[in-house]
Amino acid sequence: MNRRNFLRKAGLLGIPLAAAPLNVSFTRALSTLVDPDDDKVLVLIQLSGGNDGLNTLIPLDQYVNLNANRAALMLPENSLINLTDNQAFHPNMTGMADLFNDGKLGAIQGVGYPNQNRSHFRSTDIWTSASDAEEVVTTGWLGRNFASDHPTYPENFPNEDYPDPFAIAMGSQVSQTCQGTGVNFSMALNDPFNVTSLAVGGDTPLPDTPYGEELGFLRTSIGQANAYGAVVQERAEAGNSLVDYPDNGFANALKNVAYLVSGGLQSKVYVVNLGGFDTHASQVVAGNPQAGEHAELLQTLSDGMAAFHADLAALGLEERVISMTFSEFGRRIAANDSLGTDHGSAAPLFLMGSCVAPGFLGSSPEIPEVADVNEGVAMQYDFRDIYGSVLQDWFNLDPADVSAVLGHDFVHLPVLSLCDVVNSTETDTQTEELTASVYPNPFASRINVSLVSDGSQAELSIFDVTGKRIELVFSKRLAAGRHRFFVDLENQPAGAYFVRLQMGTRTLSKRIVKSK
Amino acid sequence: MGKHQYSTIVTGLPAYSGEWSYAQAAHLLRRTTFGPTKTAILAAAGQGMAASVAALLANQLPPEPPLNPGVTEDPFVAVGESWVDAPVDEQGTLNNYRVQSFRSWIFQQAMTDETIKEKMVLFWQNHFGLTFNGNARVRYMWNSLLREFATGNFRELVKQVTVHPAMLVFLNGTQSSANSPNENYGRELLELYTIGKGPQIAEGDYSNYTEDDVRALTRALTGWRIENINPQAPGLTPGSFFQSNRHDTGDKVLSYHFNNQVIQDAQEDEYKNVVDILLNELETARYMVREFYRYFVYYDISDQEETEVIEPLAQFFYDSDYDVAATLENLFSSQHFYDILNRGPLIKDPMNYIMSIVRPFGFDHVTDATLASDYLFYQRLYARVLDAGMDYLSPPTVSGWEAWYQAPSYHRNWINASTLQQRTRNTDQFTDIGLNGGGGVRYSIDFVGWIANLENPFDPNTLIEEITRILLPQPLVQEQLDALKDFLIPGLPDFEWTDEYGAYLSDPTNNMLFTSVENKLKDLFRAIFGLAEFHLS
Repeated sequence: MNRRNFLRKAGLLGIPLAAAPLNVSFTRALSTLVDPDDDKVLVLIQLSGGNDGLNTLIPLDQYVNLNANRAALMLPENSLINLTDNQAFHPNMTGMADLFNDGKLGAIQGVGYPNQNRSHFRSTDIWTSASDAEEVVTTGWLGRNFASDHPTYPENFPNEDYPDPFAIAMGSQVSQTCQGTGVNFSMALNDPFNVTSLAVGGDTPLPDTPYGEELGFLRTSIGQANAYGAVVQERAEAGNSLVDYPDNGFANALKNVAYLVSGGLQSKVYVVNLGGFDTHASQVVAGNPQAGEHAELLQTLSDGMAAFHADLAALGLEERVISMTFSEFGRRIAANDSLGTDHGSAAPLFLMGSCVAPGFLGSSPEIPEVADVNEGVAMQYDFRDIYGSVLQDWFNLDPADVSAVLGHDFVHLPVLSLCDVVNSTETDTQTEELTASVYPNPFASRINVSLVSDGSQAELSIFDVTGKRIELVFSKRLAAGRHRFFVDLENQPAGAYFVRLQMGTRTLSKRIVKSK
Repeated sequence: MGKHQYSTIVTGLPAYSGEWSYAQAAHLLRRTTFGPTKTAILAAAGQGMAASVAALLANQLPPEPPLNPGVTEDPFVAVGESWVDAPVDEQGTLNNYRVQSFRSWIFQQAMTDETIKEKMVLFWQNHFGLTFNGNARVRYMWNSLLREFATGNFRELVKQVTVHPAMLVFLNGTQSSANSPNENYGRELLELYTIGKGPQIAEGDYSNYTEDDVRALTRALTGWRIENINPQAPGLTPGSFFQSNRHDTGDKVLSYHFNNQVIQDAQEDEYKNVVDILLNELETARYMVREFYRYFVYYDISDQEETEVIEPLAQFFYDSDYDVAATLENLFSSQHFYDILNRGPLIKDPMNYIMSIVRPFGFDHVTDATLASDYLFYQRLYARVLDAGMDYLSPPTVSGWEAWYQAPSYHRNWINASTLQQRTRNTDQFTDIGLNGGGGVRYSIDFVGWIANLENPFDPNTLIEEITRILLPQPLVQEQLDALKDFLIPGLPDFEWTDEYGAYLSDPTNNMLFTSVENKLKDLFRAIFGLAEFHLS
């Protein structure tokens, strides 16, 4: 029996169309989730600590204001790698710039969520669970997928139908993205060629004592006992890697992913972590902003991703694998006094591979002359819409299923393409730019928002500078034509705000200031 | 026939006289209880070795008996009352819940006992290897005997075991008569319970006894019968009695191993003479002391340890007239016991393993617990231990569990791919959601509340160091501590933990902050529980 068809059918019959709230535990099988016959692979690149998007993807059209707010961090304009007239990469990101120029990199601007939480833990929970900011969900966005398909896991797994782990988290730690209701669906994997080092500290030296002897026995046994250990090692050994990678842990993890995928491991998801983005201090070297911790991290990221995707191309796996970065938040616009930046709001998210929609979605973040000390980058896109679009387009899921697993409706965004590589400079992924007029600005108590609807679903909301959504003006389908809305902000304190408009897949963020 | 004479005055093992602090106290409690709490370790560290050992071995009142946790269909026992003296129904329906109740109760004792008692009950449970498949009341009687003599006099214990109704059923004593002797008990009494079977040195000669001795002892033990083994009416008590006309009154001549002693007819007291003869042999003390040693210290006994530890301790056990408490006191006060080489190499048995996950944390925070939920929780604990390879009430054979007798691997027999996966599932479940007590009561570990009582939970380094000091037998190397920190605060600087934890403490009713901190702690504890070191004691 063709399992795929079987699952499709079951899905058609059994799926509740309405999205359930996320806090309802997913105990019912949703059936057609990640398709076991589909060989698509998603590699998640978790940039832990909160990446400074403004020092990664630099908006050239905001350069002057950006420099005014973070002079100590600011990269010389002539050092930047221009991608388009308005967008440039950090000078260390030659690898990802090459991917961009080859039409294998898509950048989505201002990715975040309403009511940005600036706690690492909490915001990581939100990103890994895909919950609302106000909602506590203990399952991961991918784990729910797996759990609804396989509610009895890990009982009787692996088995003939599912010989391989559902997901691999490179490193010692399973990924929260793969947390099911009671069990995590990812296998933590340090070294696929030596699965006996699975336990934490599995390779630290053993003392020459009875304690050391028993410890050695246990470590070996634990490595051998991992239900997936043998198959993972087998696949890795059957796999291949055809390019040189940089010599660091991150690149090595990506190389191991290449071995596993090319060796035939059927895991759908790999999570590779790169930590250290919490750059409160010494983000750059004093007097030399091209150097410093963030520069090194971006070098590691960019060179690793370039090598990985070159390897995928050489291995003929490009149409099977995409990569997607995420980070719990961006950083604030203004530098702090320690050559660093503090926890902020939205940031760009990158998709890589020959099947991603190349170019940019969204526009440069708007940087004021003087940013509020707490001001982060305004949100343009909700990360859950990206998750949903990836699930739908990459894993070929029914949109209703995607909504059910995400826990709410999502807007399908054009973040993936048909794997036909074209030069991104010739592509304009942004259809006609969304415009709206907001006046007066500055304003005293209320504003007018005037917009032209194309008849699609639209949402208008007001955010403060910390990413908190202070008002959802409407979220509905607007008739085509011009509309005008008044938003009363009488009761809000003076200061800066953002008007966010989304219409279909297009978004717009405008900074407004309430005068004293 | 009588007691042996005190031949020499021996003092057992050289006493420990080194530093007494946290590490020594923790080692003592890890080996003698089912997973010590921080409070217990600190108390033991504070009161010194002698007082700590004395407290572990102190006599305890018997615990309250197991209860009916909520079965309203029991006509004999109201909910909340004990069933241990109550009759059963003919169909055995009542017995089913009582067996479950009994299982729960055993784990409740293991969870709450602060002394060595429950560890010793398990020791004897293994030593005698008895499985009784019938009435819960008889199982409870058996268990009560082991509990009563947990650290009591071994001589008296073996005597009572010999005529206990559960044993008379288990090893067929009740079927053994002068005309039709059944050797089952006589054989195990020699082979497993007292003197032990040595290498075969001649046809039917096992170094310490011969096949003829098995037959002689069997004859001496004839005449014991069981009664009321499954009482279905009030007033009847399961028990045993001596039936003279089934007893073999002839002389029983023992082999040269026992100086060809003759056991003469002594009717209902004859079994006591049998036990006295066996215990008059120093070899019995050696056999038992090796078993204590493997249970409490380490399975591998070198020639040097045989000479320097087993022999003097066996002599002590013998000279103390088989006083278990005194002998264990000697062991737990010895230089050898605290030798660094003996700290940490003991692979936890399944019960120790499971209990060491939950007991250091406790469940005092489960404020909605009821009698029924407690019993269901403990029943589930029992099942977890069973899944990990130990069915407490049903040792696999009369020899007990392989890991406690099978050379050369001994404790390593607890560990295989299947049991390791089971152990990991257990730690994952306890870390993630805990166990369900029914009625909406969940027994999950309160990691967030628990760390508040540590020395400095704000600093991730001291936090992790102290947790591992409580849960693991030896300090980790720095590389491992760093790796663990990466579970708590992946890729983040230390102060972010201080900030996040502080944010939660300043707003403790904020569920989002709580969950975030709890999730990180779960990641950390899952990693600690996943360490190879966590399988060791």
